[in-house]
Amino acid sequence: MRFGRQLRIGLNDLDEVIYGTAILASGGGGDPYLGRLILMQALQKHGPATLLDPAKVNNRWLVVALGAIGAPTVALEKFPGLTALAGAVERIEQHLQRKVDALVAAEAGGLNAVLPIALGLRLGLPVIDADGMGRAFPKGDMMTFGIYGGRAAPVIVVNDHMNAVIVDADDNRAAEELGRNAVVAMGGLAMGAIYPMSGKFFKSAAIRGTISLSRDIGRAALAASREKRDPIDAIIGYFHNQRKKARYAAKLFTGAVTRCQPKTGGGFVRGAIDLENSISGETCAIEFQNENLIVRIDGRIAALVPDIITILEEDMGDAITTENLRYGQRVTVFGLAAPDLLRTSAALEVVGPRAFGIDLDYRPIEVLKGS
Amino acid sequence: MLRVGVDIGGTNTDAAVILGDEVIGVCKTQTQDNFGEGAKSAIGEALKAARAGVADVRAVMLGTTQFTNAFTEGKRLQPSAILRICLPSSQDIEPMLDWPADLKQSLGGHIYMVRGGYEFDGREAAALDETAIRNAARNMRRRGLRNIAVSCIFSTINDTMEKRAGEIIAQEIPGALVTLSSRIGRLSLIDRENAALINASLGNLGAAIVESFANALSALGIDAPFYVSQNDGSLMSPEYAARNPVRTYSSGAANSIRGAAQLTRCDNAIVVDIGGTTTDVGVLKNHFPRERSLPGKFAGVRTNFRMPDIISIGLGGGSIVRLGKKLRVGPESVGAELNRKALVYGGDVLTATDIAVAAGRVKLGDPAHLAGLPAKETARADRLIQAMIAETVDKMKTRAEDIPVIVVGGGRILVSHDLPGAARLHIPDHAGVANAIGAAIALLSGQAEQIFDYSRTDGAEAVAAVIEKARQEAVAAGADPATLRVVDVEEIPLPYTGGKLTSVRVKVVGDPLRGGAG
Repeated sequence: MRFGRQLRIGLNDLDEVIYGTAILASGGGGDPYLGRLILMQALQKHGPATLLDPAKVNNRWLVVALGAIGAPTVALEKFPGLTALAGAVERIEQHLQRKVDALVAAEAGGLNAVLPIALGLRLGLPVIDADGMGRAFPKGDMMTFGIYGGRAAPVIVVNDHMNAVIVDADDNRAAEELGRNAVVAMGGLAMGAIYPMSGKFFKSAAIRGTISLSRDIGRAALAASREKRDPIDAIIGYFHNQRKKARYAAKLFTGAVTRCQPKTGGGFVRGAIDLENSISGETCAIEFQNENLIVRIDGRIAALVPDIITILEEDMGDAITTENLRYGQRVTVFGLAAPDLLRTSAALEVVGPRAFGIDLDYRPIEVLKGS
Repeated sequence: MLRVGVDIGGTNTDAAVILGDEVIGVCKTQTQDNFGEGAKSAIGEALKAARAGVADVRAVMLGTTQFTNAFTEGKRLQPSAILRICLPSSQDIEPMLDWPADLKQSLGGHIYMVRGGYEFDGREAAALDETAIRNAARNMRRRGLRNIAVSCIFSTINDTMEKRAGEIIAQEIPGALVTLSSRIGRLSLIDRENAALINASLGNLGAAIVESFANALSALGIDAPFYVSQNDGSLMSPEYAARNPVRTYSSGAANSIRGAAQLTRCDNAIVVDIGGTTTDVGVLKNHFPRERSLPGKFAGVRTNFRMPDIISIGLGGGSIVRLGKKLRVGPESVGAELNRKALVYGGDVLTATDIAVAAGRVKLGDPAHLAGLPAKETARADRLIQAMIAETVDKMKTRAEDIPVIVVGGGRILVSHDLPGAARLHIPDHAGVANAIGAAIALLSGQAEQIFDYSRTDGAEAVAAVIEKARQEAVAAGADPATLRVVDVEEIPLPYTGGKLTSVRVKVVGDPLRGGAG
């Protein structure tokens, strides 16, 4: 339910929000199941959450982006902790000698989009209906806040023992790398606060409406499932029918996973997924670096980073994160045009194909379709 | 020397006698309320058919779904407590948070969280708070709780804290039945903890079922060791099964896939198991069932056992058929009452079995009862049945290739030999008792999984260490060390860790130790 432009999320909206954030995540963003349970417990304890319209953010506010950093596999045992996340906010306040006024998600993903909402409920702090990626990316310096001139530092990572590492570096990439190394030393998972920024800057760089978009996508898909319609078609219909905010969306491929090979290299998990359609014999190859980067169908490029490429479970259309993909799974590859803020030349330098070692110029998914 | 497999299902109890590679005697009977009696008569008849005596039996393998039924029907569940060793971590998702309300209520929702737990490499993350455990155990005792599940962060890597908690609980609660999550499940605290709680809530049902089967064997005069099938189709000792009944709940699917492999000598195939109410389609890959990778739900509760990747549809020999414009087959079924309710048996319900008889594929009952049915309509229903099966087979295929399809189970008569998409179709002899055959040829297994920092540990050393851990588990389960072989090694780099952390997962299998589990 919306009151004015405010978005309210209650227990009844939980499945829709989680479904939608996982669709946007492009194969990353953390385990949606954990995100669902953490938000569920917070909503049961504190009641519904109200998200703030980005337009209502005061220019002089201090806004900070939050998220869990580390291995999703570790998070299956040691759940992302709200006390540690609160500790990260507290350290930012100590470091900058002022109160944080509002929280925002670092990325749109099944876990990381909802962690700030759960923390906001606990701390009584406003959480903004926005994020810094409009999807998930592997690195903190790939956020729009960095692309459009913001400073990532001080980057704070805190573990459940409330041990904190504070990284102060002018270079966003260095800040991200040092922070990530600290996370591995902390047991493979920690809670992070990054890009402390003014409300004014936030409004110039944020991807707006991420949580309401997620809820709307989830609502369309789950309603379709209940009515025995195809949930993925419903999502595509949703994007095509937004008058001003219409975005190209399409099913790129349907088939089974015939090979799924994660490889380490260059500090991140790089790998390839091969799919085959058992009826047509068509093949599909996806390269990923945590998140999915490029899709080729029978050798022809169908989508390229930063456009969103998410692999969905065939029947219910639930998004599958890269680490959960296995041989034999039956899936549909879903493609979605990236938000405009990720398609500028400044953005493509940081999140375009070449930033991931793919020697190709970016071409939008809707253009590739016709080629 | 003979191996005897027994499958006690909801409807039928099957037995198969195997000599070397050959099936030499089988028997199919109805499951009885006292299922030990049913097992006794099935084994006796199968041995008679094999012209073998009880002295020739070297081992007996039991597959059963009795525990599953107890839990899914919510009957006989004991109030149970969960003690999670986790603080200061993992407190923002409480145990049983997303359980169905009625199940949570029947267990009582007794939740305790105490300090302790490990890092991914088995190092202590927080010291174990023994005082808190003792206080929790005393509180459980005051509440009259005897069935206790214990979970701990990364207990699959290091189970010391879970064991210590088990000791303290045993001291404080005389006669407590303690389930340690590290004995039950795999990496993923919630799924493993759920499985441990389900196991705890079954109380001494596991012991009771194992005992009644042991009694049936001794009444027959069989003194060979027996084993119980678990979810992935491998075996466990009766002592282990008595304490861990939850590990049996999906053994039927794995057994039928392995049984199908044995009957056809195929290494790779799609296996279609058609029962009275449902059809399960699975994949045989390199002689073993292909396992599902994502957590499954058991009575609405998420768990992550290693178990076969199966698609089930509501189609079986007893499926109710509606002819006419709104042609439908299933999912409703007459189930175990097929022998009374189907038209060919003089009943008044049109079933999928009647359609198979009308199609002339099989002679059963009295076909004269079908005389009034419009032939065009029954032919359409038959085509629908073939299409339902073909579509499910197709979903399980990963490639557009010619892979054999094996059909087993009591409802196999539904399948036409020209099933679309199945270039090579096998409906082997004894296909009706594939479950029991799969149980008879099952192996013992051991599994282990561990996370390593590959910037510090050599990959080959890491794999060797995990293989050794899996071997130890297989030997503890009763495997002959000389027969152990590694069937699966997975090295999965963990994302977002700078390429440093890698998860290593190993499965080994072996034959039963001669003379039993010791």
